[in-house]
Amino acid sequence: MTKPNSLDQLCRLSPEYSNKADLRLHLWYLVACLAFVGGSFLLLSHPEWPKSLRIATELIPMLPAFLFLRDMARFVRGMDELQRRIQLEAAAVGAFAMLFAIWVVNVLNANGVYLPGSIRGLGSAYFLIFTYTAWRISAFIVSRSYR
Amino acid sequence: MKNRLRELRAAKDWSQSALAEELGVSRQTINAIETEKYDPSLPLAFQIARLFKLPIESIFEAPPAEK
Repeated sequence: MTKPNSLDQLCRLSPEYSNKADLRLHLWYLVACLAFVGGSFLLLSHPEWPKSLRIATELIPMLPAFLFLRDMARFVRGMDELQRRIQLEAAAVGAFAMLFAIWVVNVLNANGVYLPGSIRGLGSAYFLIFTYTAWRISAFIVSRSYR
Repeated sequence: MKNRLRELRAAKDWSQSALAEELGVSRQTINAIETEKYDPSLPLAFQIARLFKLPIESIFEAPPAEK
């Protein structure tokens, strides 16, 4: 029987940690983060850019983010039934955490509270990082409840 | 759902990891089934029964019927 994918393969402290699985899963996530950081610098240093170019720069991280989502789906598909259940619960928590974050940012924006320019500009990339972090933390917590 | 998985595994002198490998699941899944924190799916329950060459109902105790 082939060994199913598991969260332990992504945890550096686990004896089952796999550098290969970790890199394969997170490669596009890293590219998305780099595209986001690079885009932020470009937008800050070129305020004269036309709107179309600014929009394109802001949307570029979406492509690697989509590829990360595809790799994530493949990784979860290779898990066993308990691990898939853990991922489903964790993904739901991550998605709701992101929705609440968007809600808070919208309320702050509507009330004229100052937010750093990059949150307004490349805000979606912040949400990607936020959702990912929320997913990892909740997956860790949910996983512990089955130990 | 109560089960005899730990007892059957011990009788065969298998570790959780060895059983997990036989069934193609993670060690955590075996542990969660043994500690009754997780009920396996029907295909996995049948796979376990087949591995131990026992009828499924002699490994897993059916929960009482709801009225």
